[in-house]
Amino acid sequence: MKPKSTPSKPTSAAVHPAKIELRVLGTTVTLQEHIRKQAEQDLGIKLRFIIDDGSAVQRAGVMHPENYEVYDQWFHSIDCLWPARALQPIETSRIRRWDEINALPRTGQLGDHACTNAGSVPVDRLYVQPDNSLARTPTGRISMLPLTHNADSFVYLEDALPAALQATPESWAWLLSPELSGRVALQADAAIGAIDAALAVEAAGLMKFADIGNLTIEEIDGLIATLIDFKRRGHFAGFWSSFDEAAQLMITNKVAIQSIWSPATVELERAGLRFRLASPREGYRAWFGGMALSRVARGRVLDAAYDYLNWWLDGWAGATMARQGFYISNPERSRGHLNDAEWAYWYDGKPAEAELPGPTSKHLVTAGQQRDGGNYVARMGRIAVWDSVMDEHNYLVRRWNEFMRA
Amino acid sequence: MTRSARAALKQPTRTDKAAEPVIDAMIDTDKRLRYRLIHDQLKSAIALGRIAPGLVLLEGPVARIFGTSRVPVRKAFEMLHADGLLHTFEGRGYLVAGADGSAPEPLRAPLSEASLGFEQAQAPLELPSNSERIYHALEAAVSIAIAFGHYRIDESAAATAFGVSRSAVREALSRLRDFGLVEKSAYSHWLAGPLTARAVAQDYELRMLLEPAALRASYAKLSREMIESAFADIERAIRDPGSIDADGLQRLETTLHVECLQHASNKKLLGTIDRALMPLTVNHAFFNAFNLHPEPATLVEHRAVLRPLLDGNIDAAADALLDHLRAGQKRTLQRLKVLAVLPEPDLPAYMQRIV
Repeated sequence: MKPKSTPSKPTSAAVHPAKIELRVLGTTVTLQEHIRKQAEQDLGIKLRFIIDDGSAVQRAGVMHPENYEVYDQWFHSIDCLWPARALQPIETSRIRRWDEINALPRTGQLGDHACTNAGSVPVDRLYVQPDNSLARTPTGRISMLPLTHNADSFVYLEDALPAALQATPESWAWLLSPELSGRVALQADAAIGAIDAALAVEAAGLMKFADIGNLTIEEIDGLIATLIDFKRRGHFAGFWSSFDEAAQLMITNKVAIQSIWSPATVELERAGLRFRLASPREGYRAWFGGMALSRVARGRVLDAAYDYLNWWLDGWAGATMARQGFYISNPERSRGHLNDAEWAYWYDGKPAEAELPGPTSKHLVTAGQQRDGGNYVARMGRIAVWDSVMDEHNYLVRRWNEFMRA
Repeated sequence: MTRSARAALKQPTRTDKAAEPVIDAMIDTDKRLRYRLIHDQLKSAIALGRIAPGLVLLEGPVARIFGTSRVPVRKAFEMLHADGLLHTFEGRGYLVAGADGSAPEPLRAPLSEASLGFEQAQAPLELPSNSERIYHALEAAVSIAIAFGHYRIDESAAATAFGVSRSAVREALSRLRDFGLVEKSAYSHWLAGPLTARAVAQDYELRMLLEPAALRASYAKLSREMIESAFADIERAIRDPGSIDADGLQRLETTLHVECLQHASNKKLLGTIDRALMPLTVNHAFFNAFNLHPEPATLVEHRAVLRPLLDGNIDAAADALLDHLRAGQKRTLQRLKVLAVLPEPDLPAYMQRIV
């Protein structure tokens, strides 16, 4: 790896005799064209993004490590990738800003309070142990570089909210509210969608789970039976796999309430909808994204992969993620790439002092607007459960597919 | 005991292939004389020097490897003896003759596809009887299917597919039920799967309770040669894990979890262990699907059991076996999660998904 003097200074392509092509496998959450172009320019490499939905990316990641160098997805999917030995450990000594990464992914704590242990907690699958298993005991090798993350919930159209709900605190139970029947959507991915559904079923008082991040067979059966029941009654208007689909469901007025990913709210803003991103009283479902290295990456292309990982911590990428409502693992570094008003809006949860730009557009947030849920600690500190690959994940996925087909 | 355990261990070797070609191959195999095929196979292996001179051949283990009864094996042995390729000696079974036709010192080692000189582990002739073929085909289809969901096995569709009577299918399914691979519901459907983390964990719990006890009970009758040979195999594997494929790993597992326990006199104990070997299905499906070599931890744990056995320290060996099973449970449960990403395979029409 060629060390660079300053983080974002473009590296001349002449550093390498021929342009290296780096293949990154991932989802639309982070594989965005403007990011690809910027990284190509900064790193002097050719960057190929292989984009698919969450499960397809996991499948390709597990089965074909020869087809990518960088796997860009979520920490919970490490439970599928690592035992299949699709990945090689990342040496933290080769990550220049490793020490800047905040405590949440590195210790499981945020400030002085411990976060939830429900679901696939990122730090529990971070460090590679001497026997090659993963655990939270720090070592010099990690499974995945923690980067983008967020606390998710659901979004609803304010005007569509029934009077009965308007007076009550926001709750996951709203996704199953009879008054909203026929205008509800969930995400299709089992590891994420089933947890949103479980949060809703529990909040509605229909079931009680011993550990919502690790459902038993009976709990899965009960959950799926309940969901199929709702589906047959026409409760769900759709299921989405990408945030574009999610945004379209609402923009075309098919749904009034649905679980959501942050970039979709950017689209909703742009479409001029009056909506709210809920801060459910039960807490958020959180996820941590990151990048990992294919076990077959070697030599110059491996060096390029490390360069790309390091580039993500240099600030520019963190800033463009922030403009979509995502957090980066070393936020202070991206602060230099955001103006004060942007930082105050996205990280501190304060009303926008001025009009703010989006990731690729000049105008996204209008002055006076305020992010739902408050500042970073208020949002990431209220996690009910992490996205999860449960012990019975295989069973859950098969049953979830039944629900999708029902 | 070994028969069923081997059956359970063997099934996953076929899980990487679609079930249909396996079945086609079995049906296509004409009814050749089994003793003749066993004879020919062993004769060529001995002639090519692929079987160690002096190796003691016993009817039971050889029959298990070929998937037949003992009768054709006995007949094949007699013919090989007449050929001068096997010698009798003061003990059970026959000795494999030396290259010069001499009778070497008896070499007692576990009999396996490898020690019988098969080039490929799954080579055991496609010669089984109809019921054996159906049994293996069903076993292959079921062990693929259970990782993907809950299935009903249609008896008459299977009978049509195999070109046999329903009672022949029923017989094979009854045998699979004995090993916990299928069950029969009150409505008289045959059901299989789904393979759950709970079932895998429960199987491991049973094995953790029973296998150390079985090892203690079997230990006195284990031959030193057998342990030495097993130890040498594991040392070789540790030196070069890349040389061990899914089938090779299966042989190592069989040695430790079947052969080392097989002398326990309590057959009910062994039978119960037999029915708890489902986790091996997960592991074989896994190693086959991803074309992986064993991780060093597994091999080192095997050695930790075999070394004290060599030293005559059965307490340490039983403890190490328990540790190995505990670690194996954790690994297997992790692998089960990985299977969730695999696409659902094409299964024979008689495997009907219950939605």
